[in-house]
Amino acid sequence: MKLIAKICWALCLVFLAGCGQDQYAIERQYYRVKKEAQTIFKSPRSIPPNQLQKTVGTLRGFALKYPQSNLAADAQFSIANLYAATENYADARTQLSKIISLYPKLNEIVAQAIFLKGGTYEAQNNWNSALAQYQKLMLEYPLTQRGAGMPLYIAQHYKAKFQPDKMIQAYRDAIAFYNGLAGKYPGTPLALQSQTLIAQCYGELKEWQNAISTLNTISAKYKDKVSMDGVLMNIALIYARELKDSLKATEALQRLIRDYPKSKLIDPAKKIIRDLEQSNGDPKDPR
Amino acid sequence: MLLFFWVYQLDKTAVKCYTSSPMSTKPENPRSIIKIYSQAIQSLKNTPKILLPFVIFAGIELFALLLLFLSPRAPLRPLFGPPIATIWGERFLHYPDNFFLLLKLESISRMFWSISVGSLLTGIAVAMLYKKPLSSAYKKYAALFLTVLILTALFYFSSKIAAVLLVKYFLAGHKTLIFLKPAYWLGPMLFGIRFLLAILIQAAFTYAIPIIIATEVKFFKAIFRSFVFLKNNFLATILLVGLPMLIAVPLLVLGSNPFLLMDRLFPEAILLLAIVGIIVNSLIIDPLITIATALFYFNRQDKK
Repeated sequence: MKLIAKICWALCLVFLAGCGQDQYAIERQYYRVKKEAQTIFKSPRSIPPNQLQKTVGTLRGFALKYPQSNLAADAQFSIANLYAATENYADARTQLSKIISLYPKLNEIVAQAIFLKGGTYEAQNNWNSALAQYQKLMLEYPLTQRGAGMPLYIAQHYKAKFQPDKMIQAYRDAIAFYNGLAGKYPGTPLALQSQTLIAQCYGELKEWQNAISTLNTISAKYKDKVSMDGVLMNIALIYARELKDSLKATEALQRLIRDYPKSKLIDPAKKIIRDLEQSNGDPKDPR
Repeated sequence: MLLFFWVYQLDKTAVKCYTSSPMSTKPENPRSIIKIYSQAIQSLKNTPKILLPFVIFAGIELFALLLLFLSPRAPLRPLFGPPIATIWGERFLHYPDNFFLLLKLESISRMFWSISVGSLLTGIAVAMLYKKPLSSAYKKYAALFLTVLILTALFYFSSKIAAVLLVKYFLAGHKTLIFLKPAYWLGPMLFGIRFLLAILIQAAFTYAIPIIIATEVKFFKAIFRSFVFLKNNFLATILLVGLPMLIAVPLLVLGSNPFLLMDRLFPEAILLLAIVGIIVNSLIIDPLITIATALFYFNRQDKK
């Protein structure tokens, strides 16, 4: 009987787990709050103003109730996004400033808030104010995910707006920015990411030799730390498609097959080699 | 003599039906198949204790499901958290992503419990149906265990192989297969292939448990006899196994797109679906297939 009683107690304790206010319970509560916000995101122009205020109030209440939870920051961002979606840009920026003051030491959160601030200016067709935010982000938070991506973002903006001169200058600035990062933190994942972005910038500028040279530098520097199958594939594709040099493309692909026999790119590499041989004749054949 | 003994040992209602029903002469006739089901249901009504092993199994499954549902929370998280995070990812320990994994975990749990406990409980149910001592099931646990293990492994690997072959076929650059695009093959067609595989594999092994319980033949011989019996009564067996399994199709379709269910209703709808699935599978489909095929097998033996 004692054993049965003990088992019953253990089972009760296990099932009472579902009643506690743990992280899971907080996540469940946040899911419901977010679901309420999603109805506004689905049709932001057709909701009554009191519904926006009600949802913002619920999100704010959640963030106040669980300030230590990582979901509190997400709730704060959701409020800003709700304001932006309903075109209350001034309120969105006020909310983003509040986030910056709430989490001053969390660089990724601050960077995201600055980026979204820039986004609100962009939505209002105020590129200069947006650019000011983006440049601030680049200068003050270059090591964050957002900050590191900004130079490319700016260049792509000019590309989308068909402003070639500004685009070329922006890519040159981006290359300088990423060179600076790679030089400041050599051998780190950030340096690897910067070098990859430099190659991408050269690709956008159609400076293929520079792109290949950068990819070769990456391959030489990091081949012992990271798999370089993707880099070799990129080199091969540039040779094959842009420089029309099927011999060097095949060399790069054969290196990929030799050095990374377990890579997922083996089959595509073999197929490209076959295609190159068919279109140009066998590159190994001196004829 | 042995066959007479079997029939004598059978549930009285079932025996009465065998001797009076036209289905014993034409079992492949769809009407006869329906009569076998009605006999199976009649047997359950007259001897409800046959259902007890299936109720016990459903109880075990529901308890396991409850543990899996509570696995992201204390005090179960230290036990279940590390394997879930390592195999599927940490996000499946958070709300509502844990519900995406719940049906998969439930299916793994069902496989485990079917092999370890379900094999024995099915043997006990068949022994009850034939009015055999329950010890005949306990003593043959190893053979029952191996039968269900092979059946489960065959289904698991064949359905995996079907999916892998289709994916490889389309990754190789083929745009269609028999005029159909990858979206159809990897969606409804793969679903249909898996369903057919489930029926075929279950049909192949379905008579092994009655043979193991009712006779003294060795494990491999019982499997072989089950295959031979399927070959001789293919259509009837496919109908006996396949028709009850059709009941599960709506649940399988709902479970194939958990995101839609969670988005339209609420995440806990997945838990409700799993509970309904256990009730339907363990308390309707399994008893129907087990009892109907066992009755059919002995009816055919009787004719010989």
